[in-house]
Amino acid sequence: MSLYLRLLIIVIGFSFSFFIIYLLVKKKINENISIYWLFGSVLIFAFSVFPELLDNIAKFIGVDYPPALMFLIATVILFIISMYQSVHISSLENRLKELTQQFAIEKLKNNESTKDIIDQNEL
Amino acid sequence: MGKTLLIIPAYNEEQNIEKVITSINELEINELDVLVVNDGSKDCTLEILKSLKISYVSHPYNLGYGAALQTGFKYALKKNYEYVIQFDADGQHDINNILNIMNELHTNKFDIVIGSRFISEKMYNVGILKKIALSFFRMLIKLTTGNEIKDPTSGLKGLNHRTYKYYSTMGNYPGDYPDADIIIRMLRFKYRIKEIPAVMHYRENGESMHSGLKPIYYFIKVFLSIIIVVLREKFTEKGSCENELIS
Repeated sequence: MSLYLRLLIIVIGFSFSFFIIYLLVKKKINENISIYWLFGSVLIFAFSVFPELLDNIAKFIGVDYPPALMFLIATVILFIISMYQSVHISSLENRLKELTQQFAIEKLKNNESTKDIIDQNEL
Repeated sequence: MGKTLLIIPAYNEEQNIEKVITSINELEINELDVLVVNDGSKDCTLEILKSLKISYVSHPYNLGYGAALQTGFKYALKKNYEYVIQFDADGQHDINNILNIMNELHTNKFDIVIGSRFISEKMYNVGILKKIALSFFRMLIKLTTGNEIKDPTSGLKGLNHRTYKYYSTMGNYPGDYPDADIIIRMLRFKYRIKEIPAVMHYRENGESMHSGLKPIYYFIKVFLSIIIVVLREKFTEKGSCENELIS
């Protein structure tokens, strides 16, 4: 891996980590979800500082072209994160549905009890 | 006869809802209350409901047909109704079916009573796609439960307390299309289901929820739900709340 490429990857990893921390500070992302992304940026750093790590793993598994392994790892990690988020969205959708239903019923009950009070006053 | 709640989910039904409500009121059935669930309609359905002096709940945005019914079940549970009947707002269900379903629930103690288009003498014309979907779902119900349900997509159903209580729990009722999948689940849970002949009309106004490309999505979704229903049973632990409800 050339020095320029390593520098480029370090800059990308650095910007990425900075961006996640920025989102955390601005409260645009929760700590528990940001951990997965921070883990991703640590991996980017690890491979740029120790490029032989990637070469060795590639040799060990039998991948001839080490950068291809990097794409594979990146794809798998992105896949896991996106699956996790789909699960999370489904659970949020269910909770939101439940809340909306409860809200609608409570609103009717409120209207009914207000009507009862008005009826009693009229009597 | 026990206290019954008629639940009418309505989404963009400004052209039909008033007629349906008026005709139900004209029946003057004792022990029957009506609740309309306005599912975030974009037209004047809500305004019409306000003017009708009728009980209604209103979702602030569209949640889906199943979710609207579930809101009705939750309300019925809070008010402790003995039975509920789900009834479409589009004028397709004949109001005379209501008494038949109430009778069946009360006298024969069935858990679920389905108003069926296909066991009466009158022949109903359905499109070719719907015909294929219907036979496919009938076959799946027969295959997974051994029971024969002629009209698995009917929206006209009567439920007893135990059934709607189960449906009202979060996660137990599909938010979009509760059809063959839910029938299969309940049959496998040994709930007693009865189909009775029902009179239905063709939709006069407004748009069906099964229009455009939706039938394809609907078909795939219900098929997937059926597979999951069968698989889920294998993974559900014995002694969990879901199993306790069955016994």
